[in-house]
Amino acid sequence: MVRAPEGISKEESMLLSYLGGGAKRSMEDICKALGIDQSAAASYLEGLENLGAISIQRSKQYDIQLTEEGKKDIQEGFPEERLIGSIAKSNGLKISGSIDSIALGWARKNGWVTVESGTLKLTDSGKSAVGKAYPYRELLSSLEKEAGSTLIEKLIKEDKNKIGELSKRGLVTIKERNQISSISITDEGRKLLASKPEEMITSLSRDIIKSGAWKSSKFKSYNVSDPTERAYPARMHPSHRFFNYIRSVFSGMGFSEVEGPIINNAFWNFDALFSPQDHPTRDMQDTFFLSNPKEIDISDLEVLGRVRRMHKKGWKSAWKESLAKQALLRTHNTVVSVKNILKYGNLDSSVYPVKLFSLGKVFRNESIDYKHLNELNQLDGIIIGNSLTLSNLIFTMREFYSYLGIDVKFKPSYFPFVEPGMEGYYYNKEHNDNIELFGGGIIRKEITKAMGTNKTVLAWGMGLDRMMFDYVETSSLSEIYRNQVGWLRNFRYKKSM
Amino acid sequence: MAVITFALGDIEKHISKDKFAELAERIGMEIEGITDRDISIDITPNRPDLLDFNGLIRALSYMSGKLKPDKDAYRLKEGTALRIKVSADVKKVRPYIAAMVVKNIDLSGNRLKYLIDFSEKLSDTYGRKRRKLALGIHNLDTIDASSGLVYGASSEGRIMPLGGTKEMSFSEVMEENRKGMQYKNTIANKAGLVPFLSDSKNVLSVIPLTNSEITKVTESTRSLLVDITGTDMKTVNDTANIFACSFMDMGAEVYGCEIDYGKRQVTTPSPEYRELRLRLYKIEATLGINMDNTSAIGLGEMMGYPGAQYGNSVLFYIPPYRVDVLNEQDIIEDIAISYGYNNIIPEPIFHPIAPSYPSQITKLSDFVANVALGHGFTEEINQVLTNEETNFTNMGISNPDKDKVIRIAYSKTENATMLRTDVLPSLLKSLGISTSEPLPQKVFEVGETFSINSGKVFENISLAMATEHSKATFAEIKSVAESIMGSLGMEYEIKAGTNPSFIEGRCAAIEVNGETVGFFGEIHPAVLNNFKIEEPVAALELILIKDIKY
Repeated sequence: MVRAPEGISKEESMLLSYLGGGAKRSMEDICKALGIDQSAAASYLEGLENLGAISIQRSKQYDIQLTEEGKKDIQEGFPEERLIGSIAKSNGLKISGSIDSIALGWARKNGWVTVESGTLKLTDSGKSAVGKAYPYRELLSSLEKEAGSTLIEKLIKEDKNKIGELSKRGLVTIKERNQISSISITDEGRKLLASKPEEMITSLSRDIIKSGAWKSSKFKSYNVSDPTERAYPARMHPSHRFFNYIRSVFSGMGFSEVEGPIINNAFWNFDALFSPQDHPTRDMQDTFFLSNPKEIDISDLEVLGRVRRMHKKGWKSAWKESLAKQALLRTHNTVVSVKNILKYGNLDSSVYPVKLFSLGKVFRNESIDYKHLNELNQLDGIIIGNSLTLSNLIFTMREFYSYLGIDVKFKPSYFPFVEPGMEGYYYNKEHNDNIELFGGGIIRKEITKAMGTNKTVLAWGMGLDRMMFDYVETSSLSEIYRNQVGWLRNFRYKKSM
Repeated sequence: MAVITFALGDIEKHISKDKFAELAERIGMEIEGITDRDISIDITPNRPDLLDFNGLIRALSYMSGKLKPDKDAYRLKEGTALRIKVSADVKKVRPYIAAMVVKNIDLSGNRLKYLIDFSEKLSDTYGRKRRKLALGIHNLDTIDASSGLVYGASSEGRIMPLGGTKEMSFSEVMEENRKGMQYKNTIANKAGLVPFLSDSKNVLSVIPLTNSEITKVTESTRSLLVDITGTDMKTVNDTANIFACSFMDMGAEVYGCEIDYGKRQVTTPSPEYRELRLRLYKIEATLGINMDNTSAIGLGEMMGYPGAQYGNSVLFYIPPYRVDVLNEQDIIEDIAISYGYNNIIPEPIFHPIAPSYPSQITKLSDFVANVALGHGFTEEINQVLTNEETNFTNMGISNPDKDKVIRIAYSKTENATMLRTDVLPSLLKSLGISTSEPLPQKVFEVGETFSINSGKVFENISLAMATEHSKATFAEIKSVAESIMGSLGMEYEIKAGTNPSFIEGRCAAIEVNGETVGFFGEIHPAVLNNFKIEEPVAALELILIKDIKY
């Protein structure tokens, strides 16, 4: 706690007392007396001046610097002087390109030369100027001599125009600045000094709180509009938040979440889903096959046999186990769904329908740009039950999307693992286009049979990344997964979830 | 999926462009683009018949009711037009062929272009880039069929390729001809046998590479020989039927050809309607729509199936070009399509009240994320695809054990050659691109990490945290690490650790039951340099679940 007149700080109060003696003081005096540096002193002075407690006398200071050319001209004479010197010597000079145009310009301006049939001649005043003191040179050398002296201000005021010419010719640079020459206290300041000092609390401390000292003093007030440092809260990644939102909608509809591995063999990713072995999506161009491990064994031989039969019967072509063992990164989460059909296909009939979803990364061997990522997030869902129909799937999808405020429409589509197959879409006003939402249908009987169940399975899959454009302000998908810290701190949500 | 383009003028002779778009979407095909000159449409792979202009118009005309199906619509003309003998050699490399003769065909306007587009797209998709299936279309008038044709295979022979000016040997075709170079891998075999079709004088085609210039078809050609060859008999015969129907829809006459396989002789094509029985209750069981005979027959007709009542079933006659329809289930899908998916009344699923469960991984990840957020760390989600530079080199790991890394065989981008083994490199990479942001920067991620050991794949869930500012130290990250371990309720020990990514002597290992599960400490300045980070970083990497059991 310090004692200081109301409204001024301890330091300001000390400064005011120092000036209270009445003498005019310089900046250096103040810094020395108070033991503070110039920038601190300047800030206190500004505060006191604003209160009208002190008066500050300011004077002009000049920084004068002669250029190399300026220094040379003092020594050797100005170009126009040298020009008339040489005309005088040779009694006339033929005009040619070798004559310095600056020298010629000034010589004419001074009225020193005329031109007679292509030859420069001196005028009378030119003749008298030869060898005499040249006022510009005089001025330039006195500027050099008097730099820093008290005469300089007078000199600069009187010869303003000439100095302007010198500076235009690049012979000298002059910078003007205001400087505090003296500081004195005002009547207002004396009043302030005389006012009874008060106990002011600047920062609250344990002592002040415990002792009750705060009861007898005031708090120094802050300028509430002073800028402060920006705070950055820790934030959840927007896709984590969005995925949890989607999870909550499905769990609200009675779905449990299941997981499955990212690294699979082609058997689960393709063959178990009735995708023919010569199908184009099984190309290296579209799928990330692995070189380590190259293959993953198919452990369930019974399922292997049934899948083999399904392919032979369905596609009427040879089926190679070696192709099915190829290791890859899953291209869709339907691979998790089909494994769960196997797992949940033969339970006690009272547990049906079994409703499951999985949410996770899927991979496509794509070239990446602002629209395409090779690592995507998908949600796949299944309902396993005894008598399920396409109309049940339509109901489920409509419920889900209506929760998100989307009016979903349905149309037929083709995926090798469902029949009938469908696609959900909605009309987007902004793009004046139908935007795809999900693909799904009833899992083919061939597949459910190969998974050892006679149940009906409704299934669908949806990409989640693109949906985020409705919730997160961003220019591209890649921005969301680039994790630039500035973006993570500043992105905004467009919609609540 | 294959995109095919038709001129608006041709379509509008049959149907308005708006109606075309509406009906095409209704049968499940997507309009890719409409300009004032043409329409592009994406055809799903189950409907090769729709890659054809005639096939598409036919399907839409059934759907709109303009055309009524007739099970006698497609009849071959009487008599066999020609005979093709299949040699023993070709049976080893490309065993099947079907062929037909087409007369009085009009190929003017865009008709020839559509025919070629159709056969190209079909061989590309359905035919798996000509490996499984390829078509040859020849001008019949240029062929001497008097003593039959030969479908054979040989390593030697000569042909003047389509568009060429000189005769080439088979091997020259494969090495110098554009199509030859493109498709030669489809017939690669040890004996170097190249399938061909020839008449008594000339080689008509080197299959599936090129036809002969001699049999070239133009817009004024009136008679065709069409051959379809491949490795799968059903695909070859199906395709022959699709084309036969298309030619007849164009008003041409189609004659069968006899294929002589030696032991047996068959006539192709065989564009016959097949009978399939649809039980009405199956419609309700699959679609949830109660339907009588009359409506089922009406809906079948919209898909081009003539139908007749048969007790509580309908007998449908499946057109020869609908090679995708094999069973009852396939018809039901078509019934759903003509009914209209948006007309199906949504039915809720009734079931007993049962709890729903979150997954174990989601539960744990959410829990750890909340603790990390509570410590003031901002969450990142990074890609798990990475490369050696980010995952190892930049982390100061000079000789990683490559056998323990999940590696991608072929990637279109150099940023994705492997799966990350740790999360920390992802965080350091993001700090490296964020140097203009005010400090401190504190980030974390809970995510998948991967490794492989003696053939056993490990998928793990790991946590990494990093704090960057001028006074980031071992002590700061140690406090956080202990707090995390404490909140996980794990018994752990902290020991001096050795890890090239950290400053020696300022790195600790976290051990649980004697096994190292993580590291923390001050990141080595060489690593900071590699990631272009300009201030000190203290960080932590911890495996939360090792080898997830699914």
